[in-house]
Amino acid sequence: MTSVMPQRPAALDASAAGDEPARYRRRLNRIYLLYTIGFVVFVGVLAVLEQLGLSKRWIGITFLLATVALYAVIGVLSRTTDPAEYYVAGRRVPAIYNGMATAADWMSAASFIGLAGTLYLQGYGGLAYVMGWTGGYVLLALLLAPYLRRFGQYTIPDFLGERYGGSGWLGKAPRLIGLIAAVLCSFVYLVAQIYGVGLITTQLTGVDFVIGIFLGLGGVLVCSFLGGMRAVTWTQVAQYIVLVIAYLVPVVWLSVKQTHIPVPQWTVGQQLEKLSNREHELLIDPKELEVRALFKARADDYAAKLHDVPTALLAERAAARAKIEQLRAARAPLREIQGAERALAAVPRDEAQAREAWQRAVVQNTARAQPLAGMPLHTQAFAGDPAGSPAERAAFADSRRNFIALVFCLMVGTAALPHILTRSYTTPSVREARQSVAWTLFFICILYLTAPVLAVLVKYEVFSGLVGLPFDRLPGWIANWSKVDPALVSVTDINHDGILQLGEIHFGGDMVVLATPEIAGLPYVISGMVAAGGLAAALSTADGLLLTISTALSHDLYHKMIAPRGSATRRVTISKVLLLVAALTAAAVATQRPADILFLVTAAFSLAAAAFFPALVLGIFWSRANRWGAISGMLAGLGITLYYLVRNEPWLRAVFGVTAPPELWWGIMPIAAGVFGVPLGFAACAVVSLLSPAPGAAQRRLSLALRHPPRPGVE
Amino acid sequence: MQPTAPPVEPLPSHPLDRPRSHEDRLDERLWHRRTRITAALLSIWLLVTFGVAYFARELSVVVWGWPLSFWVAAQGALLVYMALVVGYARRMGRIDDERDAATTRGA
Repeated sequence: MTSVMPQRPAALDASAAGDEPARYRRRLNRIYLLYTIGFVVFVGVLAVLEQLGLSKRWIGITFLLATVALYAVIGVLSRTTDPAEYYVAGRRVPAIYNGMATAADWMSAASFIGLAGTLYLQGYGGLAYVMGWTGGYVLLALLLAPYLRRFGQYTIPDFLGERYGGSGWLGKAPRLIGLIAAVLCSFVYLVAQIYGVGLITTQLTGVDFVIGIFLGLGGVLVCSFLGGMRAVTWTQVAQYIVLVIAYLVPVVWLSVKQTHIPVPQWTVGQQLEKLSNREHELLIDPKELEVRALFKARADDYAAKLHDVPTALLAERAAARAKIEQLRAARAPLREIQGAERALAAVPRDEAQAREAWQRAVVQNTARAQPLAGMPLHTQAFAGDPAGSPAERAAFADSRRNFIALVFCLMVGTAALPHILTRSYTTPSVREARQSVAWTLFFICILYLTAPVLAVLVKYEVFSGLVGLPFDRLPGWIANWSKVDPALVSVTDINHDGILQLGEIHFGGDMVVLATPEIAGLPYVISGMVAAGGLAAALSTADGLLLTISTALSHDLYHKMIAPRGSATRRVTISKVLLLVAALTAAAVATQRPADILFLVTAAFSLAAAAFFPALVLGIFWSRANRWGAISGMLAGLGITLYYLVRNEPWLRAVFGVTAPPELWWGIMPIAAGVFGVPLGFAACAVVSLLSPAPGAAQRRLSLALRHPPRPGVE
Repeated sequence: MQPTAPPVEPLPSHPLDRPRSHEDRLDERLWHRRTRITAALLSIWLLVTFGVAYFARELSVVVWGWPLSFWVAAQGALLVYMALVVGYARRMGRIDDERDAATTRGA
């Protein structure tokens, strides 16, 4: 297909006659090198301006506007209406740049902001994400990417449609199921990204959450709306550079501060040892035990109230009234009286409310009464004890089973998410598709090798630098962050000794990365840069997801199923309209602040894994797999995963009004539901394929043709 | 869906339905090699991921401050994955070369 745009920026375009790939790559190298230098200079200038007195708010706004404007410019420069350009970036993105773009596409707000926080809070348990989100690329590289590139159309439903499809409505079923599954898991994931965009924009500039969402959305839209995959690819490369610099700088700085060596991945071993020693000190520290005992007493207190809710409620209300009377009688300052009045207003209004609030209080206080503020020993694998009491043995087996199931779901899901799979189509050849996955994994590993290190360094800083400080000498970031959201950071002097104990700190995981610069004592400009990095991570993933959704609808639904004769330009136009609709719908859902956003992200992995992985892998490696098998495999896998999620996950139970009691199979948590869906999908696909007629010659020819790249001069 | 499968029609000898040629036999041989390499790399992947995770408690000997299983999950496994993917791209690239060379010679 040739280009239809008359004026295209030569810089981003290699289709000009006589332009060899090598020259194209060199030009890209030059552009992105200049860009990287430009970014560093930009940060440097802001750092100088900060010293000269530029306010934090303006630094935040500058970062936000400058980076979003930059992505928008790339989007405008790469605008296109050509389908091959719009859907697969003209299939000529060199492996290294495709790898970089895929890495940015892949690393979302969850990777950038959430991962290190999860590792901080869960220790070894969080490593399921590190392993799962990298190991999945082995499956992608070995089982899917090169073969999909050999197939070489536009979307994943394209493959399902071609390999398993045929005439009649039944022949369209594989494509239809594929596109529904693609839209479902991409949309769930997209909501989480837009939510992340809103959160960061709000923190960066102080605007309202809803305005923040729509500001960020503007940045996403300019890019994917005008230029499709082409614009998204080149923007994602730019975003990867921003996010990786933003992630590494504070960690390296923290490492130099703690160990005087700037390679944190190397030095973290010794910090880990110190952290373990410190953990054992804190476990038996008398002050920590005192705080834990106080939390335990509070939990018991609430538990006692729950025995007789009406009486306890009356007593509580009476006590609050008595307090006000007493203060008034003593002519206490107005502020204290108002505080007591607020306390009265906060007493639960009726029994149901009281029961709910106190049950929550029991859970919260019991959690905080645990050793090390509820965090397990950082390096201990799994809960429980394989050599302990039966209960401990069961806890151990359960914890290990869930860890392995989660790793499995994350890996298979990584290899089956449509917005990553589509990236196999954008490389120039099968060979480069393989190399591209290797580059992707390399660029992802730069960040993923750093996240566990960041968690250890921050944890050590908190455990040995922060714990034990007097309350009046706490660093300023604690007050700043607890003002932003008390759920992220809060400290209270529980035992009134004026000294901060570990048990008195409550950290939300999401603040670890964003607050690292302040914890390490870096200038505010670095905080702004880290927030801009988080924004880049969320925006790049949102771009890729939006494109996947709109392509599935415009290409697979409209072009392939409804109006195959429509013109190519019309198809792209429809795609743009749908993209706008999808973006606005996702934003509308995100403004509702759905309860359990991180859960939804992980659920998307389970869904993608169960829906796509068996049908794709068998379609490539087993020429006997047929339409009936694929349809039943996809439906069975998707069905059982959805059933397990809806049956067992509290938030989804509430949404769908499930009344049947939750029922866990082998104690597997609902987020790892794919562990049932994937094997069932394989089994259903294989058994049903064998029970029904073999696929037609054309489809078997296709699966044989996938095995090798085309011979020279054939394609 | 029928309960009994009708007789399977013979598989076309080659994607392009030509009589089996020298090239087709080469393709079959190379495909066999490709699947063997894929299976071997996948078993390493399986061992490093699930083998080490299953025995994580037993493998917590401390080396340079790192308990071994923690190090594998945080860094070691990632390095192995990278080696697997790079190794795969190299080996498959070499098979492609071999096939291309045979084709040009044959042509």
